[in-house]
Amino acid sequence: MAQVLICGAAIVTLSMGIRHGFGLWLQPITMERGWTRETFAFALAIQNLTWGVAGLFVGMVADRFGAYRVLLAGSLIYALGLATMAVAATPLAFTASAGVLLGIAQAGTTYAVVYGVVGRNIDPARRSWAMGVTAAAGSFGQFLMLPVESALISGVHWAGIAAFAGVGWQSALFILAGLALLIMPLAVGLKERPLAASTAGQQSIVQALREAFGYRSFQLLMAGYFVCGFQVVFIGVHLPSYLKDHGLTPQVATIALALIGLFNIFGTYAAGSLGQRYPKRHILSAIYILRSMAIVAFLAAPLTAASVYVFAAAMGLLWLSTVPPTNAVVAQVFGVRHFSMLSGFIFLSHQLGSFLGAWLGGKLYDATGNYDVVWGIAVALGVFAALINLPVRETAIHRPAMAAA
Amino acid sequence: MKRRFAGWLHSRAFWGVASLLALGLVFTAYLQPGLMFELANQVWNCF
Repeated sequence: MAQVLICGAAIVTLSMGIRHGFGLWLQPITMERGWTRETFAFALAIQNLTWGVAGLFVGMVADRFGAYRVLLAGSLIYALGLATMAVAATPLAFTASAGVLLGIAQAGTTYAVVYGVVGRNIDPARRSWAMGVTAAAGSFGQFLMLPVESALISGVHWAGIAAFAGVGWQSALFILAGLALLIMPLAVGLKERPLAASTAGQQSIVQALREAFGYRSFQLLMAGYFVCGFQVVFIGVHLPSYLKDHGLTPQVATIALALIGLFNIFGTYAAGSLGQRYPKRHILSAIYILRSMAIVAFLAAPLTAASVYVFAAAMGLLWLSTVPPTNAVVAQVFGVRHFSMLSGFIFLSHQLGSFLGAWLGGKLYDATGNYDVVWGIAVALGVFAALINLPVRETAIHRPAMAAA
Repeated sequence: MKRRFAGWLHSRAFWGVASLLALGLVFTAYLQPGLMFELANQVWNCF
């Protein structure tokens, strides 16, 4: 169990951490290549959508052939994507590398795949906690890698990497490609015995999908996760601009993002641990309603640096804390045979919400001149998600046909 | 000596303090990136 947890946590730390700092490359790459910001933003939007869509297929492969092979391929594609991102000289090549390759790589090295192994190898009684530990590791990776990538881009002139010194952002991407390759040895710790041989007579992929999509609780979880993606990405992308519009310094925005990252670690771990003792639907409802309350309080209170820090800490606690309970419910209800694939479908919903949160934030800002409408939508969606998670059923689904077989 | 070292590794307090120090260090990197780069270079130069 310890091996699965340590290797799984380390893999998610790397995979989630490396991608978290991609925004830092916007300025150096667009300046050097002479591209617009839209070119860069488009590649990252494609990356998020590819991550969501590829997650479905990667999940199916991981459930069928084991996570180990998927992680090996994901690690290679991650490194290849980062290396080609460094040398891509045209917008199309950049979109293919930073968008498509890295999107596939993230699908193959993040939660859905790792959670499949965690779900299959850790006792159901401790599953929620274990998912909390893994998600907290991903949160730590995001918190850690932002300053690390910033340092790499600015060209830390360490003796050992003198060959890279002065090259700047390109060498930083090659170093990150090397880091992504570390996922390969870590994946050995998640090697499982072949799954197909031991599961004859069980559900096919089509049966599993038909069952999940016909089950109301699965639809409700998907809708809730959509809201999670919308809120998190809207705040992550647009909060710095919102603060700037209201006359706060960039330093305040930096500290706010750091606080979100820091408290996110504790929040995801706590949500996983609480899932051991309390109904996960209640935890999810509480997270969504608390997010709405935090946003309302933030907007109602006078905007100062202190109010921003309190809001950032509160949102940090609620940031990725939906990940462990949502995935734990899926494993609990549908079992772990097709878990990575089902988790992939839920995550696709999250990514569609993310896309909408980022895009609608900008679109409505351009249309109205402020973020008021989008904040309102975020609050309303939070209340909606809190309500729809309440009737989610957490008991294992009854399969009379399978039991008879 | 070896046993004492093993004792540390199994101590929750040790890992708790180490984790808090690591988190504090990363948080400082957000506030004072220059200071952290300097520190990283100093540590690297010790080898």
